[in-house]
Amino acid sequence: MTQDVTLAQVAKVFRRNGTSTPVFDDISLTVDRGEFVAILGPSGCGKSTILRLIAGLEQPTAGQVAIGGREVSVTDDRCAVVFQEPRLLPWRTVSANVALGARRRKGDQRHRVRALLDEVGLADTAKAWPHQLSGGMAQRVALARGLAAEPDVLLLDEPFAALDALTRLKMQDLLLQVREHHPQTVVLVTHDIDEALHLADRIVILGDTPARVVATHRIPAPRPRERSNPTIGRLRDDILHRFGVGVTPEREDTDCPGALAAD
Amino acid sequence: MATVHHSPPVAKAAVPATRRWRSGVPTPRWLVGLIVPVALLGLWQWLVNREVYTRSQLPAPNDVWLAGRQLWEAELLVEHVTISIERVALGFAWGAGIAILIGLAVGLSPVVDALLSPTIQAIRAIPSLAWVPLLVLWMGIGDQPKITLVAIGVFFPVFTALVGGIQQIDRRLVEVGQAYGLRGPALAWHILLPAAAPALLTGLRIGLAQGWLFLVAAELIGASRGLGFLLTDGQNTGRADIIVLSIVLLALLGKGTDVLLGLLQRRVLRWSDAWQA
Repeated sequence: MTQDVTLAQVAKVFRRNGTSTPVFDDISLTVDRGEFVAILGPSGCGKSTILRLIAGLEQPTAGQVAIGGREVSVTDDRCAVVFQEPRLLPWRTVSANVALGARRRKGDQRHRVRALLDEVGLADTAKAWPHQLSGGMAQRVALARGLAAEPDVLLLDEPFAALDALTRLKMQDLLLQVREHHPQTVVLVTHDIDEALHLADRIVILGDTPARVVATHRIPAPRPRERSNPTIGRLRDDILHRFGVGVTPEREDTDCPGALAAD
Repeated sequence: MATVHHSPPVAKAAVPATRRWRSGVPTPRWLVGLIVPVALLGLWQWLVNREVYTRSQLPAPNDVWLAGRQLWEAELLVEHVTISIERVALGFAWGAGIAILIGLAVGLSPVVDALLSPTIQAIRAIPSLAWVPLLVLWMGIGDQPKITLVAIGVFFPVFTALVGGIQQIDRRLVEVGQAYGLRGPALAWHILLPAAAPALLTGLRIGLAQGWLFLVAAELIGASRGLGFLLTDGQNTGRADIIVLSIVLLALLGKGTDVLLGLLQRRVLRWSDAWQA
């Protein structure tokens, strides 16, 4: 398969008020075209920073971030980001918010916006203001906005983390359903193991400070997956162990997932 | 689509034009707003009847009305009012326009901010009347110094409000704009101005009020037309009815133009989810 997203020996250091905080000093990662990769890790481990580097919203301190072999820049339109919060522009209606995503695409924008709102089940709310929407609806608009950009790579930054449990599961199914018509590369950042297991082709586990890739798992089950699939169940136990969950006291020599050895 | 819940958005009720008070009778808002002016008018007439002041000190409401009619028949009322509106309108356009341009530059560029803000704040501290001799010296006694003085008055509230508004913009929304390819002027137009619009509109309304204030200051000195002139003229000729007439007209015009801006504000901010009592 052709490589789509590549991070090569990427380091990122945040400098603020004279102190520098290294987020990671050597991350390498490749994502194939059309692949769905989930980056899994505890809060504050730098998962989102990886996503922001791919989006061009942050510049790497060292190393290279490229899509399709070409380095990313701030003015890149090869990615679209769906953030953890919907981040809808409150002064634009639902359809105008989706149209923001489509603004750099040629062709009939209004038709595209309508089709996407239909796909995420919000055709009736095209004229509504963002503040009138529930959290789940707002996040569906954000997803439609991301898809409207027709990106090579769709970047999802914990997009369902703030939703209630049931809405989150429905959104995951919606994402898979929508993806049938939009088969682009997806990089999903999440701390939800079940979400990663349900959606991704491959899970990249991040840990330690400064962060590094501690493990990678290919998920050996075709989609759509039953949430009770036994293969996935075993993989879940495995990953949970890595994060120090379900470990017997004598085995629990550390509470830091990053201290575990890489595969 | 069966997996996703379908719920139409709850349509938020529009701002009610009428409101039920305790009696249960719907009352238009503007009618409620008239209560105090009518009461004041009553108080005024009562003071006149009690002869608390002499008629030449405090004219009756009817005297003011007659003075207005007299000026109307002499075809002077329209002229005074029109010229004042014209000066405020032009001064407002100039002052607000320049304030928006400089405000955007200061709000968007730390360099411009560091360069201009201290000076602008110092100039702002100058009382309006202090400008008058200088403006007369530079521009004579025509319309130009008056419009300029109004523009100065409008500039500062608009500028301050816009810069404050830009500094309060949610960084995450700017990031959305950037993530979807907006840069420079496009970012300013699609993200920054709409995000700062609530602050800007408040600034425009304060600026307009200040514009009328500065107009009178400008017309008090070296004017032969306009409401400020009418005010001085009334003073010089001992015509309290003319003075009160000018004051009432200024109040009406100030309120009227503010209502127009208020309508614009409602229209522009119709997306807003602000709290309403």
